[in-house]
Amino acid sequence: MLSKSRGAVPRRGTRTGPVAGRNRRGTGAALVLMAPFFVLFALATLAPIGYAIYLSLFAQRASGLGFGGTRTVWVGLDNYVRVLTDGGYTSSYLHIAVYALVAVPLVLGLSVAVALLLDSAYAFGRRAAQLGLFVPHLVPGVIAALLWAYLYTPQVSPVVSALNRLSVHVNLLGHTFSYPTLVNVVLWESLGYNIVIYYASLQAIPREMTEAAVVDGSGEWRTAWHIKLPLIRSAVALTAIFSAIGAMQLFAEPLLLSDAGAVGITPTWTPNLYAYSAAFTRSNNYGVAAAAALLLAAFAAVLSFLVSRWAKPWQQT
Amino acid sequence: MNLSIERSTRRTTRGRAGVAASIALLAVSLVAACSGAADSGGSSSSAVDPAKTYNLTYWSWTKGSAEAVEAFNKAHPHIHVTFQQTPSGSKGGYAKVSDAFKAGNGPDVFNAEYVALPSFVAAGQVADLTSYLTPQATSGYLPQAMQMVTLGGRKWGVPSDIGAQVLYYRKDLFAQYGLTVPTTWQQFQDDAQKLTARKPGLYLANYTVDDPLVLEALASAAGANWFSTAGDSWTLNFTDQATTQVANFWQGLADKKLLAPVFSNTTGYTADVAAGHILSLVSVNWNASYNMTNYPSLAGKWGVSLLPSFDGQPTSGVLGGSTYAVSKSSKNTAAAAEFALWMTSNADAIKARTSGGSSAYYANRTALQVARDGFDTGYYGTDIYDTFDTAEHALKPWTFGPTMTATNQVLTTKLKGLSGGTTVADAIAAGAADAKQEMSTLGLNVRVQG
Amino acid sequence: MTVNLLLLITACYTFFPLVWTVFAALKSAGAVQTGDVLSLRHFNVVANVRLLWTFQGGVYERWFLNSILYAGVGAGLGALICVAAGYAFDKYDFRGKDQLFGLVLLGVLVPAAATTLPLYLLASKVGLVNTYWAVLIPSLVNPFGVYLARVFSAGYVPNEVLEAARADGAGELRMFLRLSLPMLRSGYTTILLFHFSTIWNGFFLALVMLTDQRLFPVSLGIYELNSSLSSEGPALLPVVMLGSLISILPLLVIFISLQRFWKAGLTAGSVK
Repeated sequence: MLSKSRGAVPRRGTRTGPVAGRNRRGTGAALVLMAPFFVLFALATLAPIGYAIYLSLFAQRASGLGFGGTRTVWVGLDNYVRVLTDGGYTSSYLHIAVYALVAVPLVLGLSVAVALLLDSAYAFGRRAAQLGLFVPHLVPGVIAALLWAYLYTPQVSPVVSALNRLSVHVNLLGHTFSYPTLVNVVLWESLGYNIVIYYASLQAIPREMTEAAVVDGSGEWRTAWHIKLPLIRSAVALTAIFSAIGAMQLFAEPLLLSDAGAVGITPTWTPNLYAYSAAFTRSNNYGVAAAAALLLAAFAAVLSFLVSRWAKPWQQT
Repeated sequence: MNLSIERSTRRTTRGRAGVAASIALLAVSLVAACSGAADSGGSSSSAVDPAKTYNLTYWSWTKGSAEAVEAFNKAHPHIHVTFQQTPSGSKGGYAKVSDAFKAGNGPDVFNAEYVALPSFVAAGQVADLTSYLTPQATSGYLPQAMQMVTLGGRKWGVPSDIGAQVLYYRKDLFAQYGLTVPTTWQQFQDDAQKLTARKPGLYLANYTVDDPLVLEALASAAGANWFSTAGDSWTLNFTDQATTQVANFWQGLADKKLLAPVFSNTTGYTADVAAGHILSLVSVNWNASYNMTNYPSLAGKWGVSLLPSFDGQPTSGVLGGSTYAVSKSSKNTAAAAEFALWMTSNADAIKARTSGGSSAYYANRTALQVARDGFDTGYYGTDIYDTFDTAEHALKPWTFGPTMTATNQVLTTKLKGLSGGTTVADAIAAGAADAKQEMSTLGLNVRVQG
Repeated sequence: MTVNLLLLITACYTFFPLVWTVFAALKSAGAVQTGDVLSLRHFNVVANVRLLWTFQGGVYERWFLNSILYAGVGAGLGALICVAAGYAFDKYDFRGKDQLFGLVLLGVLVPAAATTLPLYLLASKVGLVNTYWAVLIPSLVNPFGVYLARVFSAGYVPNEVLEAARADGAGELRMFLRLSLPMLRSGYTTILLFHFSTIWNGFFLALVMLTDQRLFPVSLGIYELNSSLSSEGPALLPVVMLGSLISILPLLVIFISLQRFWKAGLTAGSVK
């Protein structure tokens, strides 16, 4: 489906004749068209990774009281060892794993459910509903987290005071609610986004298929489950991958909740927060920060690769 | 808005460069230039050759710095200072200075809070100013502030202002509930018990020691000193009797549910204070102007008293304050030291600095008088600087460690256990372990006492 | 009916925080602090607007303009770069093409945040931190945009048209500019739209790179201001609330007026 442009034209390797000349010309054009992207990509992604690898092999050392200043020394893989043996770093992966196990199925499940509701014959105002539900996605993540943090704060929140009036006393910033409060922020931000994708996929299903099912006597539910759901599988797989990637770069939401006084969420709660903290808020230890960031990038790359192998979201069916 | 200046120190542990933000100090000190003051820089000018011209760069984030520097330049034809605005320490100011030093293009003079200074010293980035800060040159400075810039027997910066802990309390509500202003922690606990028993939902204080800087200042006031230097080695002592006493006291209050279950420096906390659900604050001098800005409706309702103590004697701990430090790479240390002394002691500078309403307490006597004269006492109804004076002179010595940011981050995290779980003592132990590990990893000599 | 009831509940969940924000943005700091938001008392609209526009010498306006600069230039130029690359991937064959496209997909899959810190370290080394460039240059890179552009190019630019032009002797680059680009206009708009919203909503890159608040985008500005409330007190709470609310508006307007494009984009990315 990603078409090769000139099926009749001999492929690379044939170096004779006018056609090959044109092919070379084509290659030249392709390079020119791609150059800006790849130059920037190299500058903004590859070069920094290379430099971070270099930095991660060094550390600052002093002696005595330290008044004599520090010198940079080669430490080999010490920074990696240090990071990997730091319980704070390893548990940050546990946090995002638990978070992803809760958040991804929940967000996707609810999105699919609402999309199916929208797609059902009984729904009113589908266009407006779609647009409305999409609005939270337009709110910058950091601001969404900030707003929810206020809504979790007992002194400020109408939600908490309403619960109190119902004699339900909960501390949304307590240990118990670390994951629920976090998942809720992300759910709110991404629900509408996913719904719009799924709804569009559902709309793309030929009507005859669903109508035939209904004629066969399948109910709404059976139709949804057996006909519609399998047909939007690739959309779900793709959004699942993006949600999982989102889990790996979790940063603003836990940061804001931690600042708002959430007991269970520490300033190094996710790998990303850990690396940030190593570079800026905890110490200016660039070697450790580089090691922590690189391990995260490697982890994410491997995981994404495996998942995309398995789910094949790029495959156009 | 002028408020930015006052309280930033409190946030230290969350700030970006990690080292606290007490802009307050700086804000103030900058303008401290100009005329009147005893030109204490004079004594060190022996090293400055008046026939030569010196060029200095100065980085700071405080309002009025530009004006103060301009005045300095006018008064010192042979020294020319170029001023550059930076973000505050907590918002990347320290990271920026530190980065610039690594890259070899740092400033000659910059501001560092007391909590941050040892980190710069242990990174070998600031100059030893001992030979310029002679007893004569620093005679106008509060000795307790001079102690804060002394590390390993050497002096590493010129103190600008310094915060000493005091107790703010709601006079009106204390009267209403029949509470006495506590002079000992025992009385403080009695008040807390009495209040909460009488009116559930009201508290004498919040967790308070969840802010590591407050915990450290309280430990200091009780006589602890977590960090010290002996010969070529740092000594850690997080487990002395004073620290244990402080930890147990606050843990006890938390266990008895006598502390408002809200963390310091959060929205919930200010809301509770504004609503009168929390009746006292363990805080410092610049909180005075913070209250004026943020709780205008509480005018006339605050009293300020000395910090309670365990033995009934006046005491206090350092909570925030900043210094002028000179870069080790500076080629004009003498001129830089002269600049630093001048900026922290000059009357006109302080005047410009405090014009927006400040309750800073300056280490230098002349500077202090200017701030004091300019302070609007209307909100409090009395000259609260009298109380500040007593607190400042009761300050106990304290030294911050060279990896304080990391230690304070660990403390912040662990102290959240006040709401249930880990104890204050556990948190301090974790902080101590982290300090030891960070310092050893850096290659410093560390000994642990106790 | 159950269907619409459930949809109504979803809508309430979605809109509740937004409604709360609208109220909070128009009220005094004291009212927000004490939880008196969802009522008709204590409105303080004029004072809040004035505070927002004047605090720290009108820096909010500056943040807003910075965001427009970062998102506008970053997305405008970035989307063009994506379209060119995606088109080339679609229409040309050359050695190593699959590997190169694999690199693009890797760029999609590795979280940007994981490479942001290394980017800072490098930028710090070359002295680019705390400049407009530090945010602008990385913002131009959008691997997912390249993927989308390849899909669009396959869908919108018929090979026959290119063959015909080639037969007439047109140059390859000229063909791209004159023929293909106009055909890809709606694809470009779609990519631009998503790129714009990604940059506008971005926060981590700016947080890491910038220390000078005059360079902040609005998201970072609001964040820093909100965290400063703990040290400076709640007096600036209305600025946080009103500033948050206003920061949402540009995207809202753009997405409502360009619905056709983003829906197409969402579908192109996942469905087919």
